[in-house]
Parts: sequence; structure tokens; C-alpha cells
Amino acid sequence: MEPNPILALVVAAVLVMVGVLLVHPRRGALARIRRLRLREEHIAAEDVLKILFARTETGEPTSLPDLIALQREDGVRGSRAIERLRRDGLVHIDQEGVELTRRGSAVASDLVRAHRLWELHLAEETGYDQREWHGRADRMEHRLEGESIEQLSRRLGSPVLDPDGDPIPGAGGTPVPSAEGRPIESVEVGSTYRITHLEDEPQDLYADLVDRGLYFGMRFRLLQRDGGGFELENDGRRIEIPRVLAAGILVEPCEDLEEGAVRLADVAVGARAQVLGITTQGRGAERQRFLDLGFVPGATVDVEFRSAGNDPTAYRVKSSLVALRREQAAKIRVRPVAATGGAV
Amino acid sequence: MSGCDGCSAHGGGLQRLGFKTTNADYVVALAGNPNTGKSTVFNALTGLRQHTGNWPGKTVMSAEGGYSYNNKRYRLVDLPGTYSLLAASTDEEVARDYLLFGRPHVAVVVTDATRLERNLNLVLQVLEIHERTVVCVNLMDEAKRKGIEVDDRRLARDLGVPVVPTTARRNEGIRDLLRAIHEVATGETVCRPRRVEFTAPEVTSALETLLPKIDALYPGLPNARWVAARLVEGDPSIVQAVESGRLGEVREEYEVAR
Repeated sequence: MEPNPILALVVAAVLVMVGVLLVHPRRGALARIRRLRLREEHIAAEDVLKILFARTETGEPTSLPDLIALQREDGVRGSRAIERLRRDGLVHIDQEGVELTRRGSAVASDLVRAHRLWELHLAEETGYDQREWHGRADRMEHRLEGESIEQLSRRLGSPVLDPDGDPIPGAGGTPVPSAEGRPIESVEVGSTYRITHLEDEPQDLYADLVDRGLYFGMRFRLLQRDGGGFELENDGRRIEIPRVLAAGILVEPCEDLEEGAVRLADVAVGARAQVLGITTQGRGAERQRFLDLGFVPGATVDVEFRSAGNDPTAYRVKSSLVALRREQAAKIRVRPVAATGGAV
Repeated sequence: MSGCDGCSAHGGGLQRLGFKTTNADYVVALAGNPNTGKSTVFNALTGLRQHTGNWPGKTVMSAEGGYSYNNKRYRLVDLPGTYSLLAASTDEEVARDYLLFGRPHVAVVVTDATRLERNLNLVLQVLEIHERTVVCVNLMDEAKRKGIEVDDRRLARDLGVPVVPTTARRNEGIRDLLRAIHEVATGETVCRPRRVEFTAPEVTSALETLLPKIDALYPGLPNARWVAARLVEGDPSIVQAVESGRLGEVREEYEVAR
């Protein structure tokens, strides 16, 4: 039987199309896979730089096996990434281990700078949940470069700390000071402290700290400590911190923790309170909005009524009614007062 | 009909011009919190013949209209309703930029008589940026219903600018408003707006250092102190405006996109 010419044409056309889809220099599947792999190598290399950068404080080189174990890729990919860094002059390898060169240090510093600036951007200018900041910044840091990082920094007001209290390296690889504060191990029962740093890695421990209500800038009184952990008091709430989580917290003593403070979200309907301030969790545009609506220190707030689903609640402040969700009212620190005036 | 309108005995003839307001003698910006009846005031002044559109490059709505009063042509620009001018949102940015760079002849801040305390936040901020301001205390009928009395004379003394009570939806007080705007525009009324006093020594010394430098760069700037305060705060857009020289430009071409 003779081959049907039309069928042959169709088959040939399909084969050509498949061929093009594969080998097209830009859009072809093979080209894309190659680009993806290059990107992954690039990201792996940058991650190695970050690991080394974080360890520069100890002043000692990291041994090669240790480094391979620390980074996220499998051994083969990881050592390829390290070899690439060596070729590019960003790390130096000798029998003692792997060390960042000056240039490698500058590149790593810029990466950390981009990461922490992005976290601050997420905290101040977006509504993303606090637990997502680090992961998103981890992905974004590889995409920001040069001028866009500087623009971001300027727009945020040239900040020096990220939302968890980590110092943001300056441009051009200037050395970054370590976070302020002492480990929470050093605290004494009965004294008051302020959280100066919250470690955001590993992420699940960080999420646990956030769930318990901790945040950068939080002031608390230490109620109890024992082998199992610590018990704090903050604005009328009791917080327990198991020892395994405590390592991620740095604090410094503070003198100005007000007595009898609570969160507006915890004030009952029909009660009255006086505003003390907004917590550090209230950032950027949200903070500004609270202040503009009248939640300024000294303002009187009446809790008028709560909607059927327990959220939102209507508050009367500066002679007008404002509705706030529970998570918003939780960021406003107040002191209950008697409805006829005068402290409770 | 036109005979009555044009006669000055008719209380300063208000003629509504619709939106063809090129060659206006004076430009008036209308600011205020949301829900203060600002649109009603706007309509009372311009009739329903306005042009609505968007601010250039933004998705914020705007409206422009005009009227004639005492033989002078006024262009009225409606700024977005905002709680403040601290530029945390596009609305606030647009409102602030217009007052700063558009340099209208008069700014009118519409306030709600039943919520004066909160509204004064915006009033005080406008007074920091813009000297020639008139405060319109609207919704006076609501205030009366709730038993609230507003001492507009005392308020005018405290703020240092004219204060006009109105009930725009009943056209009450609009004549007084027009006259107040006119007197400020022509200079007949001199505004001495009350401005925020900073007390922290670090702030005042920083301002003292900056003020002479700003005066040297931009002599005669009416809100140099406000600009200095923003520089100390590190407000990126103000820093940029000072550095680029844009601060000194009077942007007469701050046209609403048509």
C-alpha cells in the first residue's frame, strides 16, 4: 500500500513542531531546562556564600565537609557550587577549609542586605503574615540587584534593622554589626526586658515563637524560670517559652514598661481605656492609619459594641466610631480606666 | 436672571462656569476627611457641571469645576478624601503633592462638625503645608441635631485662619464660604496659621540647622519648617524634591487628566 501523502505531510509537520519545541534556542524545552539548572546553580552558590558569611564571626574557616553538609543541595550539586565560587574568585579553599575572599564577602553582604530589606518591605508595605517573610525574602534576594536594592532602601528610609532586629548591612559590603542584646538565659525573675532580636531560622521554630505572641520590640516582665523554660508577662498575657525556643531570643533590660497595660482587643464591650501606644507589630501604613484615626497616646477609647461573629468591634475614639478587627486592636496598647474618668 | 446674578448687591454674584476653567484667576483646592460632605460643598459651588477624571498616572479619581465670584474666575479642584497628608497611600500622596507642588491660591478643608476632633488632624497638617487656608465646618445641621455647638469664632482665633460653618446640602453658609475664600485669595484676609511647636531639643536643633540651608536654596518658601521636618524624618519623596530642585517649581501645569 502506498503511503498516504497527506498523512506523511501531517506526520512530518508534527515531527518538525516537536523538534522546534525542543531545540528552539530561547523557548525550547531543552533551553529552558538548561536555564533553570543554571539558575539553580546560581542560587545554590549564593546560598553557600550566605552560610560562609554568617560564620565569619567565628573567624575560622569552615571545613569543606562541614560546608557541604550545611547547605541545602545534595553533595554533588553542593560541591559543584563551591567549586564555581572558587573559580569566580569569591571563596578561597585550602587545607584548613573554605573562606570568603574580600569580593566574596562583599557579594554575600549584598545578598544579606537584599534579604533583610525585602523582609522590611514585606513587614511595612504588604499584608503578608509574619511567618512568610523569611521564606519570601529567601527567594527574592537572588533577584534583587544593584540599583533596585538601593531604591528599596531609600524608599524604606535607609533602615538599619530588619523587622526581627537583624542589622541590615550597608551598601558595598560594609561590615555588619551583630544583633544587639543578651541571650534570654541571662534574665532575672521580676525584671523587665525588651526583645531586641528574634532569630528567624529555622523557620518552624520562628513560627512557634510568633504563634506564642513574641515580636521584636516586645517588652515583658519575667515571672518564672526553671529547667523547662521561661514564663513571661506582657500586657496582661502570660507567655511560656520552652527552653529549646529560647535560644532564638535576645533581650536587653528596659525601664519603661507601664503598669497595668493590656491590648485593646482584650478590653470588654462597655469598658473604657486610655491609649498608651501602638506595638512594634504595627508598622508602616497600618501604624500611620491607627494614629490618623486617633489612637494616639493619651486618647480615650470606648468599646461600644462587637459584631455577632466576635469580630470586628466598634470603638469610639476622638468622637467618632471606628471598626477594628481583633488582630488590629491587638496591636494597640491601652490602660483600662473607669467610665467616669480616673484610673481603675 | 443674569441681571440678578451679575449684580454685586446680590451678595457677590456666583456664576457657575462648568468645567471650562482655563485662565482662572484663582485656583482653590478642596481637601477633607472622607464623609464630610466635601462633594456636596463642591457641588454647591460649581453646580453639577464638573469634569471628573483621574489624577495623572494614578487610579485616584478627581473632579474639577469652576465658578465666578465678584468678577473673578475660580477653578475648584477636588482632592481625594484623606485622613492625613503623611502620604501612606496614593490618595494621601496625591493630595499632599497637589498642595505642595500645585500651589493653589487657597486651600479649603471641609470638616464634619460632629467629628471635629478627628478632622482637625488633617486641618493642622494642611496648615503646616499651606498658609492660605479656609476651614469649612460642614454638617452643622447634624451637629445641631446631636446637640453639638461649634464655636467657630474661637476656632478661627485658635487656628489663625477663617472658619465658616455650613450646611452644604441646604446651601446654608455657602455665601460666607465664597466670601472667605475670596478674601483670602485677594489678600484681604491675612492667614496666620497655628503651627506645631516641636519641643524635643534634638528635633529643634536639627530644624535650626536645616532652615537656613533651605532658605538659601529656596528663598521665600512658605512652608520651609514643614519641609525641614520631613527631611529630618527622612521622607524619601521630599528628600528627592529638595535634591532635584522640584520643590521650588510652581507647577501651574498640575492639570487633572482629561
